[in-house]
Amino acid sequence: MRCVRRLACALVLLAAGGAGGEGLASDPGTYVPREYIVTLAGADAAEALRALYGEYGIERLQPLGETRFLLRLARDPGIETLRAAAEASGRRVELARNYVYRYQR
Amino acid sequence: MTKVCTAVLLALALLVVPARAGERPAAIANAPAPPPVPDELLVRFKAEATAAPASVAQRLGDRLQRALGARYAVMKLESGQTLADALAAYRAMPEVEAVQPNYRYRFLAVPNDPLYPQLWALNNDGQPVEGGTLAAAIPGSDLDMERGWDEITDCTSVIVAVLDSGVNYLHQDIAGNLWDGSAAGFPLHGYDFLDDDNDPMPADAFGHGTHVAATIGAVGNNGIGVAGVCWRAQIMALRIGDRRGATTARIVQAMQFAIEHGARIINLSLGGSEHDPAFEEEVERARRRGVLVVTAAGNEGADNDDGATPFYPCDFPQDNVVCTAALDQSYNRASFSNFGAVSVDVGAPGTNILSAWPGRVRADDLRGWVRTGGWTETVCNFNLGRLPALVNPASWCATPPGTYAAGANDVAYKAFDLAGVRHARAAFFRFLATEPDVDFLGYALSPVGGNPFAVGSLIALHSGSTGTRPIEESIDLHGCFTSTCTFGFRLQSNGAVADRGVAIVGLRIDTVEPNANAYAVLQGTSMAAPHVAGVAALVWAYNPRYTSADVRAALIEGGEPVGALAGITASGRAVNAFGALQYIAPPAGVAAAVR
Repeated sequence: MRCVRRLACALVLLAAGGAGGEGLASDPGTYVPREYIVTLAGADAAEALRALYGEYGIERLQPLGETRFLLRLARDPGIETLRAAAEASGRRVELARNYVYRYQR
Repeated sequence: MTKVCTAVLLALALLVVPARAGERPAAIANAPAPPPVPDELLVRFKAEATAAPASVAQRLGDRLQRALGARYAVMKLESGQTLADALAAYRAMPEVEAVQPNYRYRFLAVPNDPLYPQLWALNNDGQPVEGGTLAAAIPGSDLDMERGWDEITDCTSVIVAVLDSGVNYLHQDIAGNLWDGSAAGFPLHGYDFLDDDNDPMPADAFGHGTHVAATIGAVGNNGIGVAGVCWRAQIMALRIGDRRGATTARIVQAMQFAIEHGARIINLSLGGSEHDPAFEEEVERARRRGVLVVTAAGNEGADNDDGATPFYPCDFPQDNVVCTAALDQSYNRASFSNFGAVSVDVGAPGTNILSAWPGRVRADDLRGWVRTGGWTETVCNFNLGRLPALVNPASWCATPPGTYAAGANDVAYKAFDLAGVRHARAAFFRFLATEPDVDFLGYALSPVGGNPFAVGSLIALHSGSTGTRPIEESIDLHGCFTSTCTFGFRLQSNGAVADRGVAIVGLRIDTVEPNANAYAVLQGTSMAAPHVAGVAALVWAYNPRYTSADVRAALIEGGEPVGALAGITASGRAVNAFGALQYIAPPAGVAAAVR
């Protein structure tokens, strides 16, 4: 049996006040860069999304249920630009970041 | 192991010593008296009594059931008297010294798992936890599991989905308690949504999910390791992330899988700060399908309801969410635990929680490395303590620090026995400062031993500077699962510029082993949630017709009021297994006419 947490604590302490004033490890971020959760209804949803966002280089378009997709772009213009494109298309497209959740240990 | 007995001999002892209250936690001491056998009495005769017990019984219209030594007897009441009247009648007999009901005692269910005495969350007698932090403890501050287990230990009728970092389904203490998904095409007890295959093993050797799963359902009373809240269970292992966490996409997929494959409880020992419509929609879908979602309150020590620091899924408004704060061994709120008078429903044990781990963790002392050039085994003073480090140059720790040699091609490596493991990773912190894209720190592996840079495979190269911050590395040792695996570092430089160099700190090898029998102590609201999920499974198994709302009500209303939770959680209660099992919802919609 080992105390994994104790080791982790020691390393955190190291990171917080190590030799030469080393600081905390950087925040790993709250979402996955270039990835979005997109909701669009319709049998042609995947096709429509490819048409809508193809210019940004679609690396991945994975269905997540009936109307939802994981979209990964090669070039991320930002969520507002993507929303504006969706609005201009006249289709009801919902966009959110692919957020990162941390284990609470 | 739950047994019922007419504890004649025990009751005889109690005739003289009425209770063993001092030997049980307070919650047990306050338990109501056990029920008496309705037509029996225990009688102790005076030492000088000459009449035979049978004749005494006969005089009162009863009969001698059994003599227990010279002065004790069990009387069978046949005279039609009430127990109270019979007690009075025997008490009045000149031969009788004492009389009492023959109580029916039930053995409290205590599993024989060797690490069970350290599971304070299940039965807190003030014990220390090996490998845990030192902490004050108040006996009785626990889930009251032994009284709960007296009612039920088997949750196999309720599938509990653990959406986490994967589960070592070959762990000795878990293997028997997993969901059987064979008929549905998932023979390995779940799915891996990270690697998109049906093997939910923690491929990065991160043990969080294994720990959580065993808290819910480590096989109980099997003489191995720990006991879960459920001694028998059906754990559905759904891997949604690695040590870095999980994403919306994987959580959504896994929740859909869990719901579609019959899970009634979903444990989510995770959280994030952004409102996430896709995630919330799945929680709502779970609600509509009658699935309970048990989740962690978060580890920031913050108020989830203050508007500034929301925490999801805890803060989702759906009433099938049971958000859980962490309590310590004195049933104070754990210092790290989030709280919320609206969003956080209950508390449960979350500090010094011992549970299963996917394999051995080999912490390396950074000694005994084969080294060339400037690599040095040393101890550096890191303000908050002196820690072993493997450095290059030797003066890395000095003030001011030195620089590595020009033209260096220095290696340091060490052998690790990884024979038979399923997965293994080397985890460590590195400080690096080299001339960018010119001087490099490399990692290499060799399954056949020796210098891995000469006979093995180069895994990675790093150059430049980590600045003032160490980088945590996690290196997959796949391909090196032999008894002679060597893992090493190489610092290469050209002849021009030299910089501060490299320090390696806190190296350990995490493994996933078949037939593992490893355990670890963790803290967190991640550890509190599965205690609640386990109790929920017990309640549901005990009351198969309950809805998710009924189970949630039992968890909350059957909880134990805890001062430290008052005003900072919705219920002010800690989950209590016995209370939850005993809880009966008051009837609703009943009208009575009173004259």
